[in-house]
Amino acid sequence: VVVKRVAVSLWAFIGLASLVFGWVATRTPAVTAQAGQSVAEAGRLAFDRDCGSCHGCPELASASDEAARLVDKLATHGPSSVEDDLAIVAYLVSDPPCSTGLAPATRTGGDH
Amino acid sequence: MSLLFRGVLWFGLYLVVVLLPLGVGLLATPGGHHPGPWSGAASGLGLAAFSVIVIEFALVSRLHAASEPFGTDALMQFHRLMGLGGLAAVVVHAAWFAFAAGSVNVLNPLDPASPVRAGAAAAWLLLAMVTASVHRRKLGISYEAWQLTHSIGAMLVVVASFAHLARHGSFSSAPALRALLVAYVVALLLLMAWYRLWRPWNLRRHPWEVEYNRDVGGSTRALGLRPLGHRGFGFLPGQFAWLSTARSPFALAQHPISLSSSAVTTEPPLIEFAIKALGNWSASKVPSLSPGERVWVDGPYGAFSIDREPGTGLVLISGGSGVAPMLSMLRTMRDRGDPRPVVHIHGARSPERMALRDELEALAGQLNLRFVPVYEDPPEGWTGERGFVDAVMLARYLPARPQDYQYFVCGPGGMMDVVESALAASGIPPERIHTERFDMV
Repeated sequence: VVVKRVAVSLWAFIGLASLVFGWVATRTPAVTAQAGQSVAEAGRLAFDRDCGSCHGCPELASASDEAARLVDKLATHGPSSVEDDLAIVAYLVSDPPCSTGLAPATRTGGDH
Repeated sequence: MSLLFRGVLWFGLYLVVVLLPLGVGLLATPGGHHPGPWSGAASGLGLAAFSVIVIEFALVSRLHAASEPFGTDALMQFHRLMGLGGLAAVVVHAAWFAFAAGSVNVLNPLDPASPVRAGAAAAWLLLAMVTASVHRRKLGISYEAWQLTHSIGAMLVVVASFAHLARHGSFSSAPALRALLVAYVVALLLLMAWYRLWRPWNLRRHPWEVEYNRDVGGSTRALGLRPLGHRGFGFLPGQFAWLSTARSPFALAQHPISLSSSAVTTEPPLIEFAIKALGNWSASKVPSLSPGERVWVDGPYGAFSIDREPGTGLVLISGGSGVAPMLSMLRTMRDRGDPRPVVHIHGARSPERMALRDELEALAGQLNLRFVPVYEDPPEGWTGERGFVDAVMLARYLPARPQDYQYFVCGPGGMMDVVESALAASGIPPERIHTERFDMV
């Protein structure tokens, strides 16, 4: 009886921990892209940043047309596929639309 | 260090091992896609299930330090329940991603187009293993065949799960998490090497020999063993050992059998098992063992003992082969001159089919013992208890202050379920109810 209670409680806890994991892991910003990293690596890292202030940013207006179009696409439609996301992020990092060098946190549907 | 403190430490370690991948997954940089909270939760559940499955082997690998605080019986039950939960977690994980992909074909491990064939194979294999374990008898699988396939199947599940995580895991592409998962697999391999190689090698250096093999009624054999070239081992009354009658201790087939002899050391050292004919091995191999034959004994194990549970009195409730540990406790109390009151309720089909009946009745005259035989099929004129042990019957024999006694229950699963519930309903605290189950598979 005791063992059953412990096991059931433990699985309830694991289930709850998984939910928290899912919620936090898809929202927590990751590390900042560091100098000297490859574009792809920086892209992956920057992909996880949540700048949060792109909307109405004056610097975005002066970014290249392609960067602005991609940012708009991400803001409007969200990520489409892994390959698309990484390609977009890599492009944004190599041609940053803002001086912070941060790419949009697309996975939360942000409006960067 | 007290057993309670050690138990808390081991349980804490278990929790850390199970949940650490989630923590590392959160902290490490994910390298894959970011699928949203529900898919993230499904990934987390998959990660936790992997940890649970890897650590399942540790629960039943006879590590004395880990099993002492809980008892092997409790660990085996925990292993079983966590395995069932692990399967449920894997099913939820797989079902969510099949739903997200909009196709159940991804769950087909034989479909070359499925990107998660290793994961699907692991899930199906796990389902087969759990089904075989839960329904072994209904499926007609022998214990030995089950033991072999369970060992091999578990390893294949771990390998396939790891391949799935390494190739397709959303979060396990992060180096830190991948390193942790590799460490888990390496730790498992080391533990298996200890269990399958070092432990049998040690047993080989400490052989035992059959001293006697007697029919004690009730399709039960009393098998006396003496150590060859070593001092044997001390044990607590009620504990059990793994017995192997194979030519080599490296053989997979081993059987958990309760010691029935007194724990008071004898000279020369001698231990006894009471083995009821319940399967191929116990019905055919055990009766054929002759004095002088070599066997292998790995023990003692278990927390089912009066020596671990102080109480002013004892209530022993057994059925069938569950009499063996009770006999060990009673013989030990007799040899120690233990004056505590004991009630022993034992269920059997009939007087003729009760193992060790003469000795059980004789012990009533040597101890402060009330022996209550319960017969399913009693002889004509029998005025004692009949039928099955149940709550109403138990109530007739519970002592005046039942919460001061310790309760030991061992027997067929159905009887144990009834007795455990009845004792709990009678207000006996759960920590005073001790059980030993060996028929989980």
